[in-house]
Amino acid sequence: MAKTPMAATYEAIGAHGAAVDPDVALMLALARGDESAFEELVARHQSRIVALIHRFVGDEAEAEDLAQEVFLRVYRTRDRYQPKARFSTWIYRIAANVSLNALRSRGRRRNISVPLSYEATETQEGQTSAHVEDAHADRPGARMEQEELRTQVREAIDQLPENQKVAVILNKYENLSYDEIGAIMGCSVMAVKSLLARARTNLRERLAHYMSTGRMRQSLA
Amino acid sequence: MVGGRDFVSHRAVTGRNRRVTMEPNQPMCRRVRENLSAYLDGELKGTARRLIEEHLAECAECRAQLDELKETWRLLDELEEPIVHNDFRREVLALARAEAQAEQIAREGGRRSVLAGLAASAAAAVFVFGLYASSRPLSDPPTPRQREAITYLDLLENVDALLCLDQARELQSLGQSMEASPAAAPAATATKEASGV
Repeated sequence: MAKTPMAATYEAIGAHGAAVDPDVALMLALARGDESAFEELVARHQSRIVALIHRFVGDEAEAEDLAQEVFLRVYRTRDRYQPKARFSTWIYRIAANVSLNALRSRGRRRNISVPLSYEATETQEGQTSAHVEDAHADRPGARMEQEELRTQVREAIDQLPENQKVAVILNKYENLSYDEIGAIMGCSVMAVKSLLARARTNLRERLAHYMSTGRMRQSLA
Repeated sequence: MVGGRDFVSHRAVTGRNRRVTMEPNQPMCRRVRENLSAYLDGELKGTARRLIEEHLAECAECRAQLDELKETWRLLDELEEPIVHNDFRREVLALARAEAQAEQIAREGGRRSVLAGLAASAAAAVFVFGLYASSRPLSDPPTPRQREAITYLDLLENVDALLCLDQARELQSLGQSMEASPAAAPAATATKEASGV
């Protein structure tokens, strides 16, 4: 019996071919000129993509701008779209690349505009904890403490090397498996395991001051 | 899922029945700590997971490490979840439509350019062919028949005059003969009118 176009499509997806991916079907409908399929794709993914990018850049307005760019990139490829992986894998990869590019260009701007003393605190490993401790010498109210903690978490993630940052965000906030992260990042499961192990170690050192339990908090007190 | 092969093979070397005590077991602790992250993420299955759990049950240091990693991961929950702007989808769709229209215009513009280009190419081809055709007799060597024609070109151009001259000579000789014989004169006059000489 001849294969249907959709069956052939899913077969082409490879390892994920057995799973029905409605996003791939929508993308193929868009490729055939069904513009409503794009609207459906945006509706299905906008929250996750904006949130994902927000984890990288830390600014809501910028996250929305970059998410728009992600969806436009998806739209632009509609005529030559070939489903080789799950749609979510593909769009996460685009989102991660767009985010990292934005951070790189921001980093170039920061190198010009940020005072040297602040920059030194930001870029040297091992300095963050001391910086945090100084900032909390005079503890403000609970709300400000919460805000401060949020800022420190944000900075701790920002200071991770790029590949560790991507792995952490995809694993922690998107609940993706090592296999899925590897597919998005284009690396092996073992590499993802290594990245996440090192990222956890780095984050633990940088956030030690805020741990409610454990020896590291005691040692800093 | 991450395979626990390294971890398992290490355990095999150290001996499955070896009892782990609270004393620091450096190689074992190192192996366990390398795998704690994957263990927390649920990426270790089967034997690898069981060996980690057995070690954690007996090693306070590694349990403390595990607690710190858990706490670190929990702190990451502090980051706020952004609320997507209500108009986000509408704006994306508007931008996409604008791009599609721009592509359409570019494509149509491209078609017009192609047609204009084809017309210009055709005109240029006709012009070039005209130049070529007009220059060809000058540039190509003449054929034998053409050479012969060129040789007798002057003769051919004046053939009518020569014919008239022949006729004039005939008339002249006819006139001379009529002077000698007057009966032939009307016929000679008629011939002269017909030739327009």
